[in-house]
Amino acid sequence: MNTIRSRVLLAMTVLLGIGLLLRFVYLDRIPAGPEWDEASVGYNAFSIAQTGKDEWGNRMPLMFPAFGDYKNPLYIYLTAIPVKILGLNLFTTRFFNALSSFLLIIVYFAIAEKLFKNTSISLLTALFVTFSPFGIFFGRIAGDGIMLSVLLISLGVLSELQYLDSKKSGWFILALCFLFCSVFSYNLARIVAPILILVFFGINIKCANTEKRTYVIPILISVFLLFALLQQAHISITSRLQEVGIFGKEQGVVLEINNLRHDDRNTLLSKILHNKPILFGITLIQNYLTHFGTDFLGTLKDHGFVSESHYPPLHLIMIPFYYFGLILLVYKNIKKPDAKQLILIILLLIAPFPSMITEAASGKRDLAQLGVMELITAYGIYHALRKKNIFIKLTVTVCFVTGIGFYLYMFFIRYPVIYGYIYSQKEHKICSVLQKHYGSYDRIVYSQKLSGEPYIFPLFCLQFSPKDYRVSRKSVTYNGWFTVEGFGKFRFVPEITPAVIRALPKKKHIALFVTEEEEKTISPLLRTILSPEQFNKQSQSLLSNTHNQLFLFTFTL
Amino acid sequence: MNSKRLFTGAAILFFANILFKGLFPGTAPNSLSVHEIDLLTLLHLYPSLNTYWFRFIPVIASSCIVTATYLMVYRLTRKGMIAFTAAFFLTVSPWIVILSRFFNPYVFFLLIIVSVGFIRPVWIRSLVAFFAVLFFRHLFISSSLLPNMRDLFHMFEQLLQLFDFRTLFFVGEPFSYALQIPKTGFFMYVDFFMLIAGFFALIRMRNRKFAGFVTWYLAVGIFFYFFTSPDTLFTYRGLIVLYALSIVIGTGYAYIINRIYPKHIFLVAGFAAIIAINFVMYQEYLFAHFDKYNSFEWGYAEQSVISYYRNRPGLKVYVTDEAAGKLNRYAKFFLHHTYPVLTINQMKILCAGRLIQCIVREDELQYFHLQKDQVKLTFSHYGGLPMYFVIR
Repeated sequence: MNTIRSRVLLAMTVLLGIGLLLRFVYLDRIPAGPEWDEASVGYNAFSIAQTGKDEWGNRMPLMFPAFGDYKNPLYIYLTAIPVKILGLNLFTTRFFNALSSFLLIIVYFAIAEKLFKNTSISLLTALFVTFSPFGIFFGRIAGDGIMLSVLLISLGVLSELQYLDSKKSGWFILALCFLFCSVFSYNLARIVAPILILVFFGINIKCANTEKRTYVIPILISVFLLFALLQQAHISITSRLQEVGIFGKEQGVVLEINNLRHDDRNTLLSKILHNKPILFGITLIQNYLTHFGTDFLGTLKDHGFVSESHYPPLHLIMIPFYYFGLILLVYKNIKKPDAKQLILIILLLIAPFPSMITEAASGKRDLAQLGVMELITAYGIYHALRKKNIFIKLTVTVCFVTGIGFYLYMFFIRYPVIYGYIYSQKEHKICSVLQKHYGSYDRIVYSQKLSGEPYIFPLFCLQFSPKDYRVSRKSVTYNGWFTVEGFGKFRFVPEITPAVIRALPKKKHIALFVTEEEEKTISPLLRTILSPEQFNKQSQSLLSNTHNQLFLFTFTL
Repeated sequence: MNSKRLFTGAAILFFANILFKGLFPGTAPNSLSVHEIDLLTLLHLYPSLNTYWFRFIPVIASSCIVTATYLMVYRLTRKGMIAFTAAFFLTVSPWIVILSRFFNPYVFFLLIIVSVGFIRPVWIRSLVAFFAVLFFRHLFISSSLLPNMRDLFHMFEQLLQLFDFRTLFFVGEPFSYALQIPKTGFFMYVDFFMLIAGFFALIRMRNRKFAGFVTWYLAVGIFFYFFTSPDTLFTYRGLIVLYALSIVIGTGYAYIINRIYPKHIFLVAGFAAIIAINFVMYQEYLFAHFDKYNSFEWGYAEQSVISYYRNRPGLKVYVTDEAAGKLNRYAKFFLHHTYPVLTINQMKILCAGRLIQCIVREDELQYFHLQKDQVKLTFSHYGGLPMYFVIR
């Protein structure tokens, strides 16, 4: 027994060591960054750490307005801790997501132990979570507390499983607390957590056989959660749904219905067949099933988004075992239901809900499945291969190792090269120039054509004082989005034109960052301001990427 | 089941298939494709414009496929219900319905592969299938016998897409509108549950021969898939895989029906209603919307041009090089001659004539300083997309 325990301990130590490396090494470089949301999270954490207020001057807000997208608060508050200790940089901004991804290995090992009491399955689960493509990718970005919310949900599940074993109500309360906190980490928890809470109540009432007064505190926590959700909904949910849902403003489904009915000349049959309930229903089911399909689970994606993984959630060899494990688990629970295993199955089935209401399957919004998929795959592999000969096991192992190797190569070596450009390349170049020469400029100007929300990057990279920022900031609100027009020495305009240059203050040393298109527009005027040598020198792009050019002109009018 | 009942069932299925799949042969699709023309030319079949009698040939082939499947599944399972549901749902599956509605070599190839299923033992059957695949590839896909190794990785990724639920049950052909029934997959929506039930039933039945039969077709299907090319439509590439999955789905239906009938009669009625509604839905998409969504992938505009000018023999028709590309393939097929090709400058001189008709494409109108609404005549695809413009 001691030998087995020490072997398990050794295996877990190795896996945790590898997990730590995969999540923390070059955390500030791979992926490149920060991108907009990361810079916003980081700066708001910095502002909280320094002043107790967010960038807009709200003291300890429930939601952070940021750009008008209302970021969830918990991750930002937690990030304020490493930012306070180590300063504002990409490492401290991403720290808690990386830590959450790392801790998930331990949590799912524990969940597997609770469910199956089988060390092999538990170790396999830990192995798969360690090398999970989604676990590594989403643990290394920080646009929101995505991985933190997954950790909190899984801790909620683990606490509930412990409650079912021990019948001590403290564990149930703890589970609810974790789920409560997850709602403030990332949006997916707003849908997953309440459903899980209902499931926990249902299972506990049916299976746990405890007294009714045990549920008083849990009910109170649930009421608080509902209140908090309503508060959040009041602030942000309707705007989110309008932006990202299939029910959103630019509804392709409604246009489709109109086209179909028009083709059918609006007959009764067309109204019966082509209407919102049917077409939305089909779209929702289609979106839902996509998360269980081979395309989502196994193919590389080339979408160019910073906050979505380009690699699928499972390594190829895992997919058939995932399906096998799922079918086996469901079959066993139909024959003889096990409350704990049912929780896992339900979590897997509800995890795609946040994603299915958007236009396309989203790994980010479906991330509550992380850990569950790996656990089910481990279960499937164990039952499929335990009686098979060594050759088959070796073949599967080789395929798995090859898959991991391919993924690590793609993520750590190829991904930064292929997709580096999507991580705000221009903004970072501006930051690196400003970090060296900020003091020598009196006015720094660039446009929203160069960067959609340009202000956040200099705030982040210069660690600009939040107090000074709030005092000197000029901003406008348009359609619920906050646009900063300037602060301190910075001015951000819609576009750099000759009129903008003529309006610049005289006898001030100006730094003007422009895009390729803007450079063509203003170069005749700049030629009159700069000497030919100065103009030629400054007409060299700061970036070597020919598709992503950036120019810096410095002059005094 | 005695042999008289068996063959009566087979005959009913055969004729029901012909009636069902042979409905309205000149719609969905309502024109010929370039590939149909090539195949008909190869076989020296030259139907007149707007006649589609040759489309009954794939209907008959498809009906033979269904009948052969019925007999084969019964032989392996000795269960009439499974044989019937496998054949019935193979009949109504969208992928085989659309495949049976136009003249193509794939439906005949599938018939050969299905017929090969009767051969015993397995190794001979496999050998025959192997050579059939090679021969078909050489004849219709590529002159080289072996696929390009560089394409294999890309095709492997696309194979995952073929098996994806979204492709199978909601989207269907993802790479081209030519064979895509709007808002319909290769199978009906409700077939998703039957696919799961079917795999489950296959495991529970413990019928090694039947499971082996389905597995064999899946394996041949994947083999055939890799022997096509990445440019080939999914419906063609996944042909045999879809056939194997159809049998699994049919097995699923039989399993569910056996579980709920006759104990839960209302459930059966509800189940039948859902299937009927799903069926009506996709048939409506096929007959009412397929041509509007997809006719630009076929030859509706080209056939319209030919039909128009065939009734006006006094007019002399000229085309530009860009307009000639697809149009003259149809002209050569139906009229046995092509329209003469002129350059833009030649057209500027010649097209002033009273009995001269010059056909150009939209991006060529600028050379004549014309807008779309200033032309003499427009020929559009069925969905309204203008394709050919006759300038003054």
